[in-house]
Amino acid sequence: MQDTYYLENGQLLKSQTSAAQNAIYKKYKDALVNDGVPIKAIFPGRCFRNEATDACHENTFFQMEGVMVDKNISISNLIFFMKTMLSEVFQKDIKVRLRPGFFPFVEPGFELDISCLICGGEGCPSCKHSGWLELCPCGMIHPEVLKAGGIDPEEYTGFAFGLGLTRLAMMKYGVKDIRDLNSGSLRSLSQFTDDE
Amino acid sequence: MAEQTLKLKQELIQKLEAVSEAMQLEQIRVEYLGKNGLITGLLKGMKDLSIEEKKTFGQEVNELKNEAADMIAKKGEELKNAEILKEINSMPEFDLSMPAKLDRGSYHPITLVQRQCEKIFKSMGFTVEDYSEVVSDYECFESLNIPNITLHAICRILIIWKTVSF
Amino acid sequence: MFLSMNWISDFVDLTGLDKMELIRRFSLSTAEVENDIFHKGSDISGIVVAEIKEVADHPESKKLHLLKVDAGDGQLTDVVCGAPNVRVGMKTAFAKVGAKIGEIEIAPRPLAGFTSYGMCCSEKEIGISDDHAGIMEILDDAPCGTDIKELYEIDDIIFEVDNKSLTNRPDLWGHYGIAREFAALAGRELKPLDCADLAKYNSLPKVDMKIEDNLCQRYSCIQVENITKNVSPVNMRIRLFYCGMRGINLLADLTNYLMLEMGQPMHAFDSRKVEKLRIKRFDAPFMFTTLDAVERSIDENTLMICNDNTPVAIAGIMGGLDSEIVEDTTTLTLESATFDAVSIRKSTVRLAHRTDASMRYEKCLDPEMTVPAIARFIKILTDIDSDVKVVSSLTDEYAVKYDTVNLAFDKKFVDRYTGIEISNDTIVKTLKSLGFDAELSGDEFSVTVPSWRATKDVTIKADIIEEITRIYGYDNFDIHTAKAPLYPVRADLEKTVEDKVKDILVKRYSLHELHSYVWAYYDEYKALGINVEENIKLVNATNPNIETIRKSIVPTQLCQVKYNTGYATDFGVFEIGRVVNGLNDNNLCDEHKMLAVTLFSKTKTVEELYFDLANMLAVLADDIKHNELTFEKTEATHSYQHLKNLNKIFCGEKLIGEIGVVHPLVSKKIDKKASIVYAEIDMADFAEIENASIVYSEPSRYPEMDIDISFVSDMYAPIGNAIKAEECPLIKNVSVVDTYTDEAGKSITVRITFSHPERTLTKEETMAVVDSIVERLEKSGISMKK
Repeated sequence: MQDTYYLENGQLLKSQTSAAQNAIYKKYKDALVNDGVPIKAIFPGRCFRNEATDACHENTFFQMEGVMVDKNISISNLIFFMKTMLSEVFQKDIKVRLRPGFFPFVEPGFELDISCLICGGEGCPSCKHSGWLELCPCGMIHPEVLKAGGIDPEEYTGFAFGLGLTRLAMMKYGVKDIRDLNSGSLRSLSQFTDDE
Repeated sequence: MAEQTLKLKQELIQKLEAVSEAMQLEQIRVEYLGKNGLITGLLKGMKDLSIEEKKTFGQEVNELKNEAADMIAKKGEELKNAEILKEINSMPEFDLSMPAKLDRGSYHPITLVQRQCEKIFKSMGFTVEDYSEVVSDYECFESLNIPNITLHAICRILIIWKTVSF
Repeated sequence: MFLSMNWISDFVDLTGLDKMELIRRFSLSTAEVENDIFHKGSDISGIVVAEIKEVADHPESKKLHLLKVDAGDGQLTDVVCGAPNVRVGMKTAFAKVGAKIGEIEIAPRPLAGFTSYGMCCSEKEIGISDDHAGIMEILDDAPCGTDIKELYEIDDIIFEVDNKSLTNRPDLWGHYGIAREFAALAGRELKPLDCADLAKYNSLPKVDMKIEDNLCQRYSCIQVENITKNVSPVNMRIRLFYCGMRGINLLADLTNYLMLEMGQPMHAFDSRKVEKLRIKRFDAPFMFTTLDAVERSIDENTLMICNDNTPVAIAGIMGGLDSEIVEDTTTLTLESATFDAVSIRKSTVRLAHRTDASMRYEKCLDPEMTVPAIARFIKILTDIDSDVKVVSSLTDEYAVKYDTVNLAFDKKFVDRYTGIEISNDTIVKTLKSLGFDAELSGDEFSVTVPSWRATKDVTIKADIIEEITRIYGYDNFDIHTAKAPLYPVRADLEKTVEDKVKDILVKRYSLHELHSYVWAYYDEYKALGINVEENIKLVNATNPNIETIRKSIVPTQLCQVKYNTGYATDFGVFEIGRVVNGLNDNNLCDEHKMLAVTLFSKTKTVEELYFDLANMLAVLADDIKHNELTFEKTEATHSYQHLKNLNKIFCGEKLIGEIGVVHPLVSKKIDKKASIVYAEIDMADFAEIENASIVYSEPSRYPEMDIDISFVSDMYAPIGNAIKAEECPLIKNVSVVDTYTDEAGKSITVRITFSHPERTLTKEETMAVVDSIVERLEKSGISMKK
């Protein structure tokens, strides 16, 4: 948190897309509570961290976070959802594994690894021979966070996950230097046409 | 009389062979089949003949007239076709083996990746929410169970310092 | 942090279990283990205890000696050795012929004219310490020929845990806590620590110690005397070395050993230096020299250990130079304490000095640990050196206690959270194996959190779920999807508009999408002759060049264009990004999402390019909103704006943005000859525009009539307005077919297309309308071209 950009008026440039969570809960809680509509939202956005920039680090980058809140959302759902969703994102069958991770806004919190995209889990230089790539934090939304959003954690549970869009773009397109993305250089950036 | 028709026919054939333009053809048509044309003239010269002779000769002349019209029409077709062929051949061959001129713009790769992810989530019934980049301490930390006493203090100190230094 | 399986095995019996598999499960359930696992001692074999029976000088070399060594095999072995510490009667570690040390296999070796049938090894060569000054001296009693691996714990499996993954587990900074995790994972029992009974010393006098500050949560101490032995036992030294610490002397090694075993840092003072042990802060800053002889500035927020009013150590971080144990120290005061974690962290930052001890104090240690640590220390110490005497009673002040954490939840809660079938029995067993007190009554669980997890880690019910599931193993989870009712998802208006804008600009106009930073660049702007507008600033920008947040994307975009002038003769870029337009009435940032477009051309004139851009924007409005744009000339207010060609953009009554030619001074700095134009539109304003719907109008079956008229006028607007004012339903379309400038001025030729749905129009009808329009215009001073 020491690396957050603060503005003179006390506001700050958001360091994580999680900043949108509270507003999203408040926006959809009535539909959840009154009509039983589960909260399912993703919120991509730009984040800022006061860090020195180099080929692997930027101070301005994109994340995409997602939450799902309903009456019986469980860890089992979270694992299923991450596996299914990531397989779609990477267009191949992905194995996932969870390791304990500590993030104040989820409990339990996990680091989610995916089977290495290059070697499929056998082990190769890209994954430092472990067969796994560290991908994203996720977990069950902390009861205090739900409360702050006006949702009763005794009635409702939910999961949350965060994907690094910048990292995903670099992985997908083989961009080696993260600074290229904000460089404004047409020689690099004009190469990306629609690839749906 | 029969000789006349034959002679005319042969003349016509020869002349037609030499024709190369539509205008020439038209001249010949007029020359032979026009109001004062040679073949039309033959019919006029029939008044001194007997009824029998008129009948036979008349038939011959009509035959000739029809034949001549056909030949001229055919020649007309030929000329038209030659004209079209000439036009076709005079067109140069367009070389498509040259590389295409790709005039295209580009999306930022983040836009592409974001859209792909959004598509997947939308198909699973997720809404896509946009949010501001400037937020408050509450939004970024407090509401997320991250106690922020230290940062509040730093911020307050820095704001005071900034205000004082103006 | 490095961990030794041997050490862990002291506390839990892991025989028969696959240790590598346990480490793998530990990595998944508890803390991340680094990839490299070291099998210490695996590359050593055939090294035995041997006694040096004879030492002879080498005739030629001063350094070399000729030894005769008894390796327990009934004969004396000739060895050539270059170590300086060889002497008769010395027992050492001897590598026989056939022994292996790493890649090397020991064979008879000619050395300076003599053959050596083996090698005497230094500790470094065996891999148990850094000492390479001489050969290892074995002081323990063991017959010659004993394999050194049987004598000492040289074989071990060492693995490294990433410290970052231990941040919220203060109980895992020592082997005992780690062993507890292994015990839970392996389903084996955790053995209790072998500690001394401190009650024995209750009759002895107390240490004069007082906590005078609530930043010290607990302070326990005891005094010992008569430590004569200075060298630590070999196994202790090996463990310390394998875990990344260097052996120093018994006392230092023992405190380090305790720290690595229990995670409780301890400190020893020369008792004379702390006769009146006080723990407090001072009112004013002062200078203090620490153990490493560095003079440091101490402020009034740093907790100090003092002798009455004289500072003797920085609490939790480092001892002072003066308090060091010296040659003639006989009595030691041993400190085992807990300090406020936040204060320690702040102090280490202030002093820019972090130690193994302070790293642990920062993590909110369990104060219940201080006394057992002392008890364990005394036990190990007295086992090693039986002459040691405890000369005080255990003195303990427990100033700040953590509340006991009791949590209650039912089976339904666990089921709902986890989504798997897990039996009540498994729940209780798992929790108990981790040290939690778990009771089940019906379907209700009541759990008491052990002190070492209650300082900050486990405080709510959801934390208990984590304990149960991580030991259960996420790999074992039966995963299934959530079932949720189906509702159509409404697309966000602004997002839809944004996507359409991008698609049109990229696909139809071949523009390139860029991103840029949210701050204004002083240097880069200045190089283009653009001023940075006053705006809200960052408080902690890394560099003053970027401290002001931008009010508009355009200046940054122009810098990007400058960067790309070599890319092509003609190109265009756009960005949809955010700016802050100062503060609003509530002192909050007025943030806007803007579309900025810049076109650059070396082949087109500025006029052509300007119209291109205006048409582009009109197409956006038409395609997305089925609406028209109007443009109004406006005054320049920024340094990059052209003074003459600058227009506000309106959609209906609504102002949505501006379009302009770049000021020549700026333009020339980008490229001497190129035409550069820009536009910036507020995306929220644009998205809010009402979407005019498309209304189908059936084309007339009767012929249309086109009438062209030329007027002399600088601007089209009055002509267009006059035609509109006519409100004639017969006018189907109006277009400008030509503009022409000569000595008479500028003339504009308009084509009015007339059409009637039910009949052919007559010339008289249409000319009547035209005449009316001409009359209108004449009245406002615009005449037809002659």
